[in-house]
Amino acid sequence: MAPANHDAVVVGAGAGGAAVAWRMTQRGWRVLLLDAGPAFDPDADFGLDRDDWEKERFRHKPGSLGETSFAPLQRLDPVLMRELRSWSLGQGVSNREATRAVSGPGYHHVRGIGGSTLHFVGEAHRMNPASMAMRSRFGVAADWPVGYAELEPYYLEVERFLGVAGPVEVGDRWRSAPYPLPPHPLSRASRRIGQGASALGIAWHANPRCALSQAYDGRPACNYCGGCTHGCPRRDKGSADVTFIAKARASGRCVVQPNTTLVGIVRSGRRIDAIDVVDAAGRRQRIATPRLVLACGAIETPRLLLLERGLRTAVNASGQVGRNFMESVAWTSIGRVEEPLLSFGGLPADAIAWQHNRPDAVPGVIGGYRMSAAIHEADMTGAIAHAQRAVPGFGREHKRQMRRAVGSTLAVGAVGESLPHERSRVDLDPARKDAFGRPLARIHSFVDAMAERRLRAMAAAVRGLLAAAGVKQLVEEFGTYDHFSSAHVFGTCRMGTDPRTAVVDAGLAVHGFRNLHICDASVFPSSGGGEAPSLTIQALALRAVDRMVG
Amino acid sequence: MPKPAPIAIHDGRPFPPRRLAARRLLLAAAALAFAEVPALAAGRARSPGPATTATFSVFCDTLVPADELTPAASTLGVPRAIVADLAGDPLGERLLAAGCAWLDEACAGDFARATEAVRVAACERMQAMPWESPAGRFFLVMRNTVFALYYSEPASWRGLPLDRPPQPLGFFDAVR
Repeated sequence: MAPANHDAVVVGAGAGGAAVAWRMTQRGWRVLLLDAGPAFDPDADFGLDRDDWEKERFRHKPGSLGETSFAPLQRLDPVLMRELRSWSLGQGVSNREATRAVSGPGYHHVRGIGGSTLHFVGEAHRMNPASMAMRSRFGVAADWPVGYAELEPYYLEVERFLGVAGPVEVGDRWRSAPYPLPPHPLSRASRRIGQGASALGIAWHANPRCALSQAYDGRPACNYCGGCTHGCPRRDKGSADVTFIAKARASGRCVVQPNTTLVGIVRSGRRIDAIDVVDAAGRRQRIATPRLVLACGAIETPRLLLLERGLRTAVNASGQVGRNFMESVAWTSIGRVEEPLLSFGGLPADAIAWQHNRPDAVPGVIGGYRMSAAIHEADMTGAIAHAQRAVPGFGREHKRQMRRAVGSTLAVGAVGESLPHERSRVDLDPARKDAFGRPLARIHSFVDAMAERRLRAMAAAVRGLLAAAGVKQLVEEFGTYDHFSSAHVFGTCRMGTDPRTAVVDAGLAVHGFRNLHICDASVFPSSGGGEAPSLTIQALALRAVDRMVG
Repeated sequence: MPKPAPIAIHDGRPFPPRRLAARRLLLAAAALAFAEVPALAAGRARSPGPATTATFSVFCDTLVPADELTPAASTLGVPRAIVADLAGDPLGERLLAAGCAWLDEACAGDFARATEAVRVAACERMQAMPWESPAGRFFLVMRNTVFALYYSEPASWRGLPLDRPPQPLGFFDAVR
């Protein structure tokens, strides 16, 4: 094995790994950044300028979707299903089984250079400080060992680095300085929802977004195509590939290697010495490293740790690796209004209501939620989606209705707190294996009574807001009671000060190891009340590197 | 808080994966589901020959007929593309043949020669069939596939508020 010619290897080139790599190069370290998935070319790969742009939401490449499996999901309560059933006017109910179903791949992610930031909307949320002490306040989840005040300078740095466009209002999240860019103008559709919010006394703000409202740092402003989830060909969305990774590479101190899969971790005692990888050509290689950072997300990172038999015992002394799995708790309703609003355009999730975001905001429920404009995330923008889902029937009348429906659909989505549960976890599948013969991560998910209550509150609020905005007819609803469908996953390598109950410390070092770190949402002690996690992942990553460098 | 908007749930008809899948995957999934239904009218199924192709083409045009602004599905090559996609796939061909056999039987043996009113009535009956029935699955899967192929063609966009891809121009009008 050749000696290391870098100071650290980072495995996983998504939100966390990219931020770590950039910070390390900024501090003068040499970094090898690996990812099992491919690199994407924004000019060629995203397809938003093609006639068939709508046929695939995000155009995956070979290897860009990791494999996972699912343990059997729970039985559904027929009474609850009356309120929380997923359905559409065009296609009927989406799950007629007696048990919860997995929607598509279930875990919606991108494996590759940029990771899931390639298809994320780009909400740039800070955690609500009130959601960071769930154990001491409510006896659930765990408290964050890093407080909001400690994270605030890092939040601000990431916001400035990405060019986050945000509102003047700060709400629960105090700021030491304004957002670097002014907020985006709200779309006609979001202004219409805002009228409903106003009638209900709900504050409806511009959502902080890492898409540029003005040209910034060599990137152009957004042109409101609405296609963030397809991948941004203009590079105005602050995905990790065009921000952190581009800057890390430009430093000359970062080598980026796609299509390279970690297949082994070599250690001596409580020190990582090297990793074994298989590259795009199928060559197995041992790479020595003074420091290893895992940033593969809350499904894959615990899998990698559990796969290493010797390491598993040392890393998982707490027994917490893979435990405390938290998922997306979400509800979306879509309805139609009569006037044309061009709702296919504008910035996705451009407006948000934080009113119910605090963990005690909903009477009788622990854990809050937020509501936001959701037509783009619901993928109800183009003609195909409307034809299949929003407009029932077929024939001449269907065609006539299409001309009135496209651009006149409104959607509100709610995303809520997910709390750890003994029956929600990630472990190794005893039967299914990857291309290298290694067990897949297996997801166990359970919706408990508190989550059911939260979902009911979310669905009622979303329907109420749409009704207040003038929606007379709903055309589709989709929720996570009858489906597992998660883009945001958390908690499986929990951060905490006590090695008996946490996997990593407040600096994201694995307890007992000085050169093994985890920088992704698996370290989150609690999920927050619907905040998008990428900004927090990146703030934690920068702070972690600063502590490594010392 | 105002009373929630009324919800019209169409019970009994699940749909394939919410995100639009590639049509081959969609059809393969449907065909597999089809294969699980022992009640499939095997005696009525036939290999997709010219008659089946004609029935299917008219079925597609019944779902998406021409009007004053836009062409019918067959004018944009939709049925041809689906039949080509299913060629060589035994389950897919079986799906196609059985669905067309049902349509023909519902129209006195020849769906393609029936009047539009008769064809529409047959399709409405097919649409109302339960998901468990082969005809019900055929209808829902083909409806999805036909719409996906048809509305990915620019010629179908005339009269719609959205008549071009999102890039490179974006939609500044949406935020004004």
